[in-house]
Parts: sequence; structure tokens; C-alpha cells
Amino acid sequence: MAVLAFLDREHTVAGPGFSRWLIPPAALAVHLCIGQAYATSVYKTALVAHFDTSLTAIGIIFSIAIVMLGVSAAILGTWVDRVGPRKAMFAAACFWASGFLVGALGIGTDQLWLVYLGYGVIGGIGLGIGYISPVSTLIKWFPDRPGLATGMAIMGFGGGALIASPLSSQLLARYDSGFDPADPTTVASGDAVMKLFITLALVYFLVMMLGVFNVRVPAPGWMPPGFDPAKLTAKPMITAANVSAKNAVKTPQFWLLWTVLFCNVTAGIGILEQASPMIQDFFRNSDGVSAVAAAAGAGFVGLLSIFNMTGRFVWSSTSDVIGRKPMYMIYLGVGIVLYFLLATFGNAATALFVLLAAVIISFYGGGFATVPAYLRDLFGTYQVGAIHGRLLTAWSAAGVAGPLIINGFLDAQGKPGELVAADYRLALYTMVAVLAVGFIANLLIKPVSDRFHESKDHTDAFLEAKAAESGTVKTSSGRNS
Amino acid sequence: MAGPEGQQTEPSSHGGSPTHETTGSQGSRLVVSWLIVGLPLAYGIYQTISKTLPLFGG
Repeated sequence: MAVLAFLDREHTVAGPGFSRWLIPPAALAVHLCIGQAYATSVYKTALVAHFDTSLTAIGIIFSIAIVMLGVSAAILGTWVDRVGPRKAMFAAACFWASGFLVGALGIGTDQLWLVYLGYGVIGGIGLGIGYISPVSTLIKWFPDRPGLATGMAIMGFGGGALIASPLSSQLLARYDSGFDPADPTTVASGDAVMKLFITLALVYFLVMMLGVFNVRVPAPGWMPPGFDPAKLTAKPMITAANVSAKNAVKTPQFWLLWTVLFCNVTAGIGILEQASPMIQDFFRNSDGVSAVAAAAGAGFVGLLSIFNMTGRFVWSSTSDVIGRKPMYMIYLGVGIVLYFLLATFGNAATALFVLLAAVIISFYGGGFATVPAYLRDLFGTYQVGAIHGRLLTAWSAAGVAGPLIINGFLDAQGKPGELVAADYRLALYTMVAVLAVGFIANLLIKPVSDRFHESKDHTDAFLEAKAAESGTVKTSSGRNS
Repeated sequence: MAGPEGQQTEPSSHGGSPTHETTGSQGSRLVVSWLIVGLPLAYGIYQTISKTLPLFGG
């Protein structure tokens, strides 16, 4: 359609003098919206009551969304690289907003399957496209600081929950006068959740449009002033070559990095999954009463969210200075020590427990944010978005494995919220072992073999697609396809 | 934050028609864009920190 021609990548090429600092807010506009996915607990209880079903049945909505995130990012990553960030962000906004609207229809008509389809499947596709849509563009705009650039965007995914959680509570209270977010005995009505979904659909669509209109791709050959690519690629772990997504998955480096991300996320989920009951259980007195009140437990969850978000920006930016491999050695190696200390001595003092858990979660967030820059270092910029999309299946897998491990061990001990510190040790030591596997995988990562490199004329997936459409050049896909 | 910047080593027409931006409009666009994402984020951080106060005996 001609009216949508402005979405085409050729209409998004930045002119001379365009400030690259407009790109991070464009990326944040998308990530802050899709980060709502981590704030679903606000209306979980209301949906359980509305559909008169179990917490597990409602929890499936979120699980479907996260699985769809990984699947759609993996499948549509090549499309995102080909069509450019503006069309991808627009598609993400349409899917994400439609997901809420279909979900609202499901709540309004008492059909839970429509909520699965809406928020879970349609919204999940929006999550996947939205998550990867700005990544390769940011890397191209910030070749000198890719960790900082992707850290800013992916920090938004963590920050999105910080906004959506209080905002949703306040909106639910406005739509249902009988609901008081401060009173856990009150539950919002289904009608209020439906109205919340419609409101979020409209607000998120508008904010994501900011990203759509602001995003630009740099003109071919653009470089920031003073940047010397030769200096960068002189470092042994940073390639000057490019690897296609199709070839990347054939390299051991991809699967080693997949293992690194999987282990880092699994270990982080180990704490996030049971954060509130865990801190109360760690400081349970012999009379069965915890020294940490429920309100303080909720505060602990909030504190972890802040460290999760800031870790994404701070550690990813640090990786630009110390290198990606050493950064992951810190995430995983120091993580092993901190996790061990938490399991063994965490119940010595609340401050020690909070400090250890906060740093561990900052590493969890940092692992997410640093991985696109690590991919750029290993595989080049050619199809880094598509490769990132495929790598995110590690997140989906960890989203299943993490809770299974932690809940499996804890279920054998009793019910979280009624346990003591010793009951958590086996689960936490298992996470130490998981981190050790990730640490070894990271140590084994070496530069990608030359045989996977594209020839020098394959550097831009979009230009190649356009050339193939017009039949001007042959569409070779590399030496090893 | 930096202003207009960058250098091109090839004609930009290889990747499509470049859009033209003016320095003045970009300055206000930078401020508005960062405010649109920064203000909600500040709201979220403030609300979350308020919730963490009981953890520190507040």
C-alpha cells in the first residue's frame, strides 16, 4: 500500500547531520512497552477470579507469550534484517496492541482461549519482533559503543515492567472502585482488566509509533567521527568479516553462546521465580515467624527489578571497555561465587542476602543486554538481528528450565513461604553448577572460522534483497551455505 | 548527548533516499523524544523505590 510506503527501509536512511542519539529513545519506546510482559502478576489474581480457574491456567498466558517471543524472533529475525527497523517496529506495535485487544475481547466474552490467542500468541509475536527490531540498527549507529547502545534499549525491557506494574494497579483501581491495590483482600473485576487491556493497547501503540517515526538507518559507509574500525577489529575477538544467520547456527560459537545465555538466564530465574518467599524463608525464626515481613518481601522484588534494569545498561556498557568474553567471565565466574555465598551464608544478615541477590540479578540483566554486542563481535553486522533472534530461543528454554529446577527442588522440601534457608541450598548449589557450565562454554568461545565468512560484497541484508528483487546481482548466500 | 554528527564514506543513495534533518528541529526532537521515554521510566523507578522502603525499615 502506498500509504505505508514510509515504512520501507529506503525511506528511513538518515540524511547528513542526523543525530544518532535519536535512535536510543526510538528503541526504548518499543522496549519500554513490550517490557509490560514482566508485569502480568498485577492482574493474575483478577483473571483467576474472573475465569474461575487456576493460577496455572492463567500463568499459561505468560508462558505462551515468552515461547512465542523466542519462536517469532528466531523465525522472523531474517525478515526484520531485510525490511529494516521501521517496518519491523510498526509490525511489533500492531501485534502487541492487537494482542491486548483480542485479550480484552476474551475477557469481555468469558473466553480464556481468546486471551491465550490474543496476549499469548499475537502479543508474543509482537514481543519477539519488537525485542530484536532495534538491535541491529543500534549496533550500526554505535559501532564504537555497541554494548552501551544495546544496553540502553534492552534496559527498556526491564524498565517496562517498572512502569506497567504501578500504572496497571492505578488504572485497575480507577476502573473498579471496589479494588484497592494496597489491600490484598480485594480483587479487581474482569471488566476492569478488560478496560485496562484496551487502555494499554492504545497507549502502547502510540508510544511505539514514536519509535516507528524516529528510527533511521545510517547511510552505507556512515561512521561516527573519530571512529577507526581498523582499531576495533585489530582486537582478536572482534571480527571484520560477516557471517549469515544460516551459517551462524552451524558454528560452535553460536551454540556455545546459546549455552552461556541459557545458563545465565536459568540461574537468574532461580532467584526471580521465588524472590519474595525466599527472603522470608531465609530469615525464618525457630518459632516459624519470618524476621522479614511480607511488605519487605515485595520491596525486595522491586529492588531486584531495579538492579535487573540497571545491570543491563551498566554491565553492557562496561563490556565495551573490557571486552565481551571477560564480561561474561565476570557474570558467570563471579556469579558462581556470589550464588555459593548466598546459599551458604545468605541467612547471616538481611543486608548480605539483599546485596548478593541484587548483584546476581544485575548480572542476569547484563547477560541479556551484552549478548547482541557479543554476536556482533563474533558474526559481524550483516544479519546480527536474525542471529540474535535465533539465540533468544535460549531465553525461552531457560524460561522453562529455570522454574522447573527451582520449583522441583523446593516442592520436595515443602511450600515456599513456609521453608527455612537450608531447604534452598540444594536448589541454589544446582544453579552454581549451571553457572559453571556456562562459564566453561564462554571460555571455549574462539573467533569464527574463515570458512563461515561471507564474501566482501555481502554486508547488508537489505541491499542484497533489493538487488535480488530487481535481478541486478546474483543472490549468493556465502561460501558455506 | 551529541548533536548532529558522523561522516559518510560513500554516497548515501546506495541505501535509498536519505531524509533531510535540520539541526534546530533535531534539538527539540531530541528533547521531546527523550522526555517521552524518560518521564515514564522515572515514574516507574520512583514507584518501585517507594515499594522497597519497607525492606530498609522505612
